[in-house]
Amino acid sequence: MIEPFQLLERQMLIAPLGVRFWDVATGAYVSNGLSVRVYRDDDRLHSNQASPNASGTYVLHHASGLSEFEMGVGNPLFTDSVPARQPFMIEVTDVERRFIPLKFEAGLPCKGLFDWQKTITEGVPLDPPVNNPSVPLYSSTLRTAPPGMAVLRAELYESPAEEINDVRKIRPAAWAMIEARSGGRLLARGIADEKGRIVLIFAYPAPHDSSSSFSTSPAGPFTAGLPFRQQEWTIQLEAFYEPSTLSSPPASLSPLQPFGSSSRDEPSIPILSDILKQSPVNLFLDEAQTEPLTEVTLSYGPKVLVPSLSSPVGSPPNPRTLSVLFVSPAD
Amino acid sequence: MMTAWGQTAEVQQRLLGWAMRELENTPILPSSLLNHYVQEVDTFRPAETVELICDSISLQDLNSLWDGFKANKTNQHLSVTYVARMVLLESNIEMTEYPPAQTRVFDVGKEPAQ
Repeated sequence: MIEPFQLLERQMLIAPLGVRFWDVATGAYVSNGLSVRVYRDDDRLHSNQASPNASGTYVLHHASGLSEFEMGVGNPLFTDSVPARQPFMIEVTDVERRFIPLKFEAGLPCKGLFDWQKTITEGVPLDPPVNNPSVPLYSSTLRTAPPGMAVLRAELYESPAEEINDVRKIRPAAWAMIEARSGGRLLARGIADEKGRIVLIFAYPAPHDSSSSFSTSPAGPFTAGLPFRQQEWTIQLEAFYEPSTLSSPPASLSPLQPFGSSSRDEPSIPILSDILKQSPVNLFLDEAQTEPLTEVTLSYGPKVLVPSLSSPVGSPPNPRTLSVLFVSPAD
Repeated sequence: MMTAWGQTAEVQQRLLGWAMRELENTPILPSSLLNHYVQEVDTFRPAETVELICDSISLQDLNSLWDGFKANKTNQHLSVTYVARMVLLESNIEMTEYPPAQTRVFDVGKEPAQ
């Protein structure tokens, strides 16, 4: 017979944050390769890392100022009462560079999975599924697109260019956002990186048929139509760019950064909800803003969809045959 | 298995060659194409694709396949086989996921003296 266990001490460990990340392009949760740093009051130097657990949730332990709570000292069970929340900043970067970096605010401790959707104001477009609390991640241009998906790449610049000491300088439209739609239906939403490079990865729209595709008639469901690789779709593009709303305090830098770590050139990452609620602006194919771009034609195939001018793009001085687009910041 | 049916051997060869070329041109079938020809429009999720790869099987296996058609008095015809990769099958068995554990409790003690 097993004798009763004599309890001497009870230790409790409470995680103040559990958050999931959702890949907007594929609709899958991202459970590895992310660096999730949590800090208070823009004190990035004293940040703590959240680590992924077996179910793909990033879990934070040892948050600054929450040690007593995490040990359950003097508090009733967390499930019975939630203490006052303290504001934290959560910064997400992808070690594999598949996604653009982002950050968002969270009040900790947070009971259950962190529900980012509930923290943002009305009018901010949402990408993650409503019933699954998660934070959306947007693809970077360095990411290899999954096979069988359409890809739109572009470089975005502000126009007109600035003249500093008689030198024309054109500023990249960092953190601008582009939405692609087909027939009014949202296909994808992409966010530019700090150099204005943007990629949108999305599933191809449904093929066009000469008649209804599905039929329950005995003759069969298939109808003649164009081969899929000869199909073309008109994609509407809408840009959003308002750098004045993206004011983000520069990250405090460590005076003792290890060799090879992020340098002082590390860009200041804006808050995700600020990026998403930028005002719409017009897209142009040229810096003089004479050729607006509202639609592009998409066709199936391994080639990348790049809207471009018929004449070579000369400004900014960039002879590459990639898509260079221009936006004016919203007032 | 893809089979060409024609009145003559030349028609069969031409037909099969054309079909193989089309499949090589579009080896990855995207979700929108796959969903377009079924009644449920969300059978395949946006990132789900099917990749077709020409993969011949042994003559013995091919003969075994055609043996199944003998009941219909169908003779062996010109055919080529493909492998469809990464076809995800969803089950209707509900997977229960327990809520995430946020609090862990460790009891430290000792066994009573013997």
